Amino acid sequence: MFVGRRPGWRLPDNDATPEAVFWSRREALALTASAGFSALARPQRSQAALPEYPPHTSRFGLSQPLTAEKYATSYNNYYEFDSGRARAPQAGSFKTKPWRVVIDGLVEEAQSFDLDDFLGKVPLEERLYRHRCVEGWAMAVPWIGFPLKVLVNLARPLGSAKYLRLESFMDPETAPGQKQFWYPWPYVEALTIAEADNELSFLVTGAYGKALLAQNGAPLRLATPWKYGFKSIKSIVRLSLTEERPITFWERQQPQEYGFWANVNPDVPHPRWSQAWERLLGTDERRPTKIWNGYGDYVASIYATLDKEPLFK
Amino acid sequence: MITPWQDRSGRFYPFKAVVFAGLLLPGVWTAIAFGLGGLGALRLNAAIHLLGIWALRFLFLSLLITPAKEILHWARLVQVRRMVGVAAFAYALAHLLFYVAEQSFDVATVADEIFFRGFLTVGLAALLGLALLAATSTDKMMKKLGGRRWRRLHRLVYAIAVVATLHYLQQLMLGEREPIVMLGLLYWLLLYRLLGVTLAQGPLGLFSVVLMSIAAAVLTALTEASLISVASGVAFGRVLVLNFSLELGIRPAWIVALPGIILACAGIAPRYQALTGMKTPSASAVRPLSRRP
Ligand code: HEM
Repeated sequence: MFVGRRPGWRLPDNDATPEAVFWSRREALALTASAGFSALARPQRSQAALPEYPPHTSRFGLSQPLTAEKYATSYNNYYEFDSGRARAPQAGSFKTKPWRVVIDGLVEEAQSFDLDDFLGKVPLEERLYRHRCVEGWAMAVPWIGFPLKVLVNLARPLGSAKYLRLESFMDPETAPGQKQFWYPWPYVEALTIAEADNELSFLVTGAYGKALLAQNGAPLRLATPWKYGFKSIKSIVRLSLTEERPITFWERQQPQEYGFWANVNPDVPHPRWSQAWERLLGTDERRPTKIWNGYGDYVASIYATLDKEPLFK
Repeated sequence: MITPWQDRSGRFYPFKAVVFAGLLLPGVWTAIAFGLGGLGALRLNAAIHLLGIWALRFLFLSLLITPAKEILHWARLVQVRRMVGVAAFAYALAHLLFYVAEQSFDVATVADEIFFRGFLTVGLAALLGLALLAATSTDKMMKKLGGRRWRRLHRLVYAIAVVATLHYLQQLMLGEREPIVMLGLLYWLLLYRLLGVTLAQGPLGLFSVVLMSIAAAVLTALTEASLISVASGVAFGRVLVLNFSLELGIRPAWIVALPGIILACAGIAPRYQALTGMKTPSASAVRPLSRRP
């Protein structure tokens, strides 16, 4: 628990106004929710009322404010719902309730549960994370969720487990992008056990004080902020512990361009573009990319002995 | 100096004015949307995309003018060909400027990126070609070069169209429709030109235009299926048969077939009129370049 301790990855405090606006807006939303107006926000009511972090304002070292909610919820890559480059995935009929989640593979006790039941039992917290897409855009989002390891430990992984494989849903009827059979659906991502165990690895169920929207990966997505965004798999239905390294979606599709590790590094360009800079959603600004997306203090040690791996692809 | 809305005698010329306004429209729309926040979270990037796609569309439109003139017996079209071509260049230049702006006017990065990223190098080649043609598009340059040399130089536009389409295709995401449609339309334009100078030795007949449109569509379907199949390893035939279902929407090949067939159908009218002697096409279609009251 983080009571009384402010982990260093938490974005430092600041008195700037945009966030003050954001927080007052959130209180207003919580009110609407408790008045029963917003069906979407309702399940989040208890959670929105409990930002474990008090209503601080927060800002990045490089004076990067939170990305405005309208941009973080409208500029998304979610190819299951949007095959083109419109970046406005239409996930209208996508049903995220009820949502079953399975944990299996090399575990002592495989689990299968309804997400809402589980969320009633786990304390949620809010984290302000940077998010860096491999295509060169970036945002800063107040995610709500819980550490990935909480969920994984529930199933008690065996000693032989080396990787965590995460799998997204499969339903071509509501997700027309999945009819494009040349892509290896469903979306699959994976982490090493050490990565999954890291305190930064976060499972997300909400953002901006509300239940997560479909285009952001509802009802359950990953956030691994030191890696390129495509590692942060959306709409997770299954977590499996494995001994062999899983082949991820993009690794299978375009191995020349995308690998297993995908850690952010300004000095390792993508074959088709430089990674030296990032464009901030909602601004005309570009900013230098930071190695590990600025989270090196918390994650670099994971990779100390892995220097032969292509860590940044 | 003749403005884009005047004829050679300096009088207001509605046909040219309308075309000119049409050419300005996407740019004006982009500028307004940019200013009013209608271009989303990364408006500079959105503007790059819009200006790039319109540059390519106008480039293709300039190549369509001669075929459309021949099919529709509408000689007046030629009077706006240079204007459309210059518009393509203007949009491409604005496209580059917005890219420079997106890189925070850091010209060193821009130069670096253009040098190292294949698709940007290719884009630059297309832009330089367009610049050359735009610079030689004035009456003065036309006279200076002489008709034959000028025409030979401006045949370069076909190569530029190929290079610009390549720049677009290098950014292709599998399953995306518009880049493949543009490739198919490029096939159509090249085929028309090729058949015109070889088989037909002159304007193609309407029936040939229809056949050729179907050929361009078939080529498009084959190319799309090969691209997807090679990139993903799925069977070529599986992608090809998609063209006969609506599972993933209307496929590019059908869209490519359409304009040529529509043009050919529209071409029936002037030929019918010519046959029945209602009016002679050339007299009605060509407006004298310098008109006296
Ligand atoms: C120095 C010259 C050029 C540069 C640096 C350049 C740069 C770019 C960039 C950065 C993108 C978008 C990449 C992205 O963010 O996804 C792009 C896309 C594009 N460019 Fe260019 N370009 C150049 C010349 C041209 C020319 C001459 C044309 C056409 C005549 C053209 C047509 C396009 C098209 C159609 C797209 C795709 C638009 C879309 O996806 O909606 N470009 N170009």
